[in-house]
Amino acid sequence: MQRITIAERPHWREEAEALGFNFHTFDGEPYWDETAYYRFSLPQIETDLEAPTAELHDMCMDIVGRAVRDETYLQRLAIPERFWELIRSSYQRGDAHLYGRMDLAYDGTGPAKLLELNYDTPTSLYESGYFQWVWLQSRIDDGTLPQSTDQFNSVQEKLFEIFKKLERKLSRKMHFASVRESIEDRGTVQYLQDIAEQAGIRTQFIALEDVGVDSTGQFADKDEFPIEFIFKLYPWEFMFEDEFANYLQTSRTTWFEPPWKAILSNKGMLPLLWELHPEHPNLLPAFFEAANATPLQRGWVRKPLFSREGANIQIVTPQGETLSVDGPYADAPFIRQAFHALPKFGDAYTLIGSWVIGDEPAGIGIREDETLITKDTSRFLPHVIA
Amino acid sequence: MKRSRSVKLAMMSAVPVLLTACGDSGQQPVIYQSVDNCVQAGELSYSECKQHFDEALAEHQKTAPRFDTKEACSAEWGDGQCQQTPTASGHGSFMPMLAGFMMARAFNNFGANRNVDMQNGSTSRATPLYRSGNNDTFRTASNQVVPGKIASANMVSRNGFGAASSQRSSYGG
Repeated sequence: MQRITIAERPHWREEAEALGFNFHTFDGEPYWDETAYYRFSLPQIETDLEAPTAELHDMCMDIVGRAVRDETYLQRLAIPERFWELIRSSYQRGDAHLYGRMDLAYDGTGPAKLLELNYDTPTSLYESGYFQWVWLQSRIDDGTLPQSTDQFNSVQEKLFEIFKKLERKLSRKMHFASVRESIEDRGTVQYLQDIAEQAGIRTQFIALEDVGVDSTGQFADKDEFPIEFIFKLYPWEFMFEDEFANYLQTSRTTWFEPPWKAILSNKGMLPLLWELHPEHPNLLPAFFEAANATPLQRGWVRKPLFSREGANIQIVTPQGETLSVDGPYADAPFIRQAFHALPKFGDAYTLIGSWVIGDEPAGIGIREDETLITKDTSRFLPHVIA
Repeated sequence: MKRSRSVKLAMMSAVPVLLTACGDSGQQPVIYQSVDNCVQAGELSYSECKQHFDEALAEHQKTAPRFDTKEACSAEWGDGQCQQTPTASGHGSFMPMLAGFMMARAFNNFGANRNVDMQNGSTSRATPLYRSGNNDTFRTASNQVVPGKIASANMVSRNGFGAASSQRSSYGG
């Protein structure tokens, strides 16, 4: 695993915009960054990243199976009791799921360590599945990289296969929703919608705020047609708190990701994994925080059960340096996880996002940040296998 | 090979930043599903609603497409969307059920720009509408989609999801 600097393609910004990548730059700072790429060997990809991703995913799904049978799991994950039945029935019905991402710390040697799971609302999907692929193809085409160069990235192909299977089940159109203001969220939703269309599904975007409820308790779109199938890029824990939460039980709408994903997107998964698989090489020690917990010790990280993009995370490094990011999740219970430094290649810390599409490992996306906490502004860099 | 054999985009290419036009229905003509639905929508009185419904019904009986068999009708209009036409002799043909109506004025304003065929020569002020086979659009007697929204008497509310959006700009991760 190496970080290799390279001249960026001169017209990539124009190309990105023509290809619908409208958030390649954030507040004047680069988000997509092709001034460097990462190079992996095939064994690094297959042995150190792909195989552990498959194994960790199976361990996670095993916990979902336990949690729907044993409510103490749901209690410990602080999932409100009135939604337990929704979660259980969505799992028992076999409600399909599309995707998830695990964030791994890996430096090219030794076991990758699972930092956290993003199984409900993962983003950076378009950059991983599409634009990174396009980047490699154009670097092969312009002679910068040899013809044989590969990439761990079957994200789009696997998503297409899932939508193709869904297409046989859907009699009606599928809606795709995100909150109105977010261009980044919209990008991920648009990409999924695009692949669904390619698979023959009729789709329609709706801002989440425009979802309505009729007098029969059925969710409806802006034209007041019932919503049968909807993908929402919006966390279940917020859905559970929103005004329409009560209708989740009465509505016939099928949600993507399904309600049972509320289990997997919860940071409480980390202590549960450690409890069931202590000393697993790809896991870090993790525990639920006690009610009257001692202050955070050196070498530990504190994370809220519900958190996105680094918000409300606090780190005390083994050297005693404290880092934290503010955010809106401060009121939830917390977990503690052993600190594991992200590798540094050059000036930045590197995090690997490993995709699971359906139930299969499907590729990686790399993020870089100047700090140890990866955030929504952290740069995305492409990778190759060579 | 560890990567997708090919990737393409169907819709995202060369689209403007905010693709709000996609799926944003804006101002649309109102579709009434029944006299009650029309009255509850609050725009028209009971007698007006009844009169328009009766006109749509008369137009329906005059212009609805006829099929010799239920299967032929269902093939075009969907399962459960067809009924036998009542006739004195008892062996009537099949036609799609009336599913709603729209004011001819709204229909013409909208249809003029959209190549939806007008029922030229009709003096009716209301246009009969039918459900499509998959039940998620309304159609004319010639089976063309009518853009419109169902009168909203049954709608309870919106803005019930996404309440925290004032706190955060993004919900992904």
